[in-house]
Amino acid sequence: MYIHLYLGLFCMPYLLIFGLSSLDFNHHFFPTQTEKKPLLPIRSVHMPLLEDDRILGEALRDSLGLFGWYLPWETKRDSLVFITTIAQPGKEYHLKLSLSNGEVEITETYKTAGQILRSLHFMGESIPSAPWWVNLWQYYQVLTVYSMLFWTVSGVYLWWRKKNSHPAERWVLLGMGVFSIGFILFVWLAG
Amino acid sequence: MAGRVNLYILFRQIHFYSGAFLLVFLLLFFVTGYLLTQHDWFDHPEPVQEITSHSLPVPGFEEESEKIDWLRSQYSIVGKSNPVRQSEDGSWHVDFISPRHTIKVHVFPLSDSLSIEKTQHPPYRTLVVLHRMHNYGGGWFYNIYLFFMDMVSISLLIFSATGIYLWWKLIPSKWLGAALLVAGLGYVAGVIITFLW
Repeated sequence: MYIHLYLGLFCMPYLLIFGLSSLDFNHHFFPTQTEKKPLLPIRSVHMPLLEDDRILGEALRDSLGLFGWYLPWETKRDSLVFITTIAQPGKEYHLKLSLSNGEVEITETYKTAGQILRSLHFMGESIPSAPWWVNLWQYYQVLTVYSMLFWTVSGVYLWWRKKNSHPAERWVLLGMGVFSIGFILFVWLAG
Repeated sequence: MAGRVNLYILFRQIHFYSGAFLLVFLLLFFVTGYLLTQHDWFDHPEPVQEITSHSLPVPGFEEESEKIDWLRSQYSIVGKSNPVRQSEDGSWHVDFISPRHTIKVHVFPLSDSLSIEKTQHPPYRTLVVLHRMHNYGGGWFYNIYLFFMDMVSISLLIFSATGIYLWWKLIPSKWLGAALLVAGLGYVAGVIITFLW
């Protein structure tokens, strides 16, 4: 019971995130409009002019001390500029690199708290160049998932050994379990 | 004192029964969600696609639901229907998605013809559909499925609230629980702040 409780207390924030974001997937109550910030001060970078867009975009991200995924579909270049976007759950950085003098214009677009919670719902991988505590998230997610398995088994066990449970309760819960399995199989196989 | 005891029992029962009634669905969503993050564990074969063309008089329809019902009755199509998309040339298109397959129907009323593209899902895609079936509509039993999905979401909020209450009432020494609760909240807050920094 102590492990059941203590795991629950540690993973409770993720349960809240799962619960709220899952409701939003069906009902769309989180606001989705993003907020574009004014242009940040222009920064200069010194880096070789790389041919490969992905390698250049990721090198640019790292030289600016940013973290996030390089978005190839938002990348383009000509003889003068290289334009790309780096995205992480809370922000998008739109980068415009002058290929002649190495100056970079950065525009940040902030996402809403709801969009961050949605991202955290399914974030099961590392974010490139992110701080270590952000990349620990995948393990927090795994811990919460395995804890859910443990909570269900230990919860049923704790209830089963309870002396004053009414026999009808067991039949009701067993019936609900059979219904649930049958219904999921129906959706899977006949839906 | 008696009122306090009753509140404890009430919260304990809510905590237990919300989990017990939804046990199978809870496990379904957590296990499928976890497996979805393990992309490499699965084979990702080329989808098996079957395309058929049909000629038949396409009646005029008043409502979107009439179009869907007509397709279901004519071709025994199953799956959760998405909203109908209308094209400028008068054709209309609708997708039916089930855990086993996706069916895309393209209807051309001007030429009284339609085509049906059926794509069988590999196991990974089946998990995706079971986990990510969202938005009500598209068939009554899909609505029931989504209702249970909502109940699971609400139950997670209930577990959190009642679980904290039960810990507070049950465990005399609070320091370890408080430390874990603060650690979890602090970690999540830290990650969110890092995203916004």
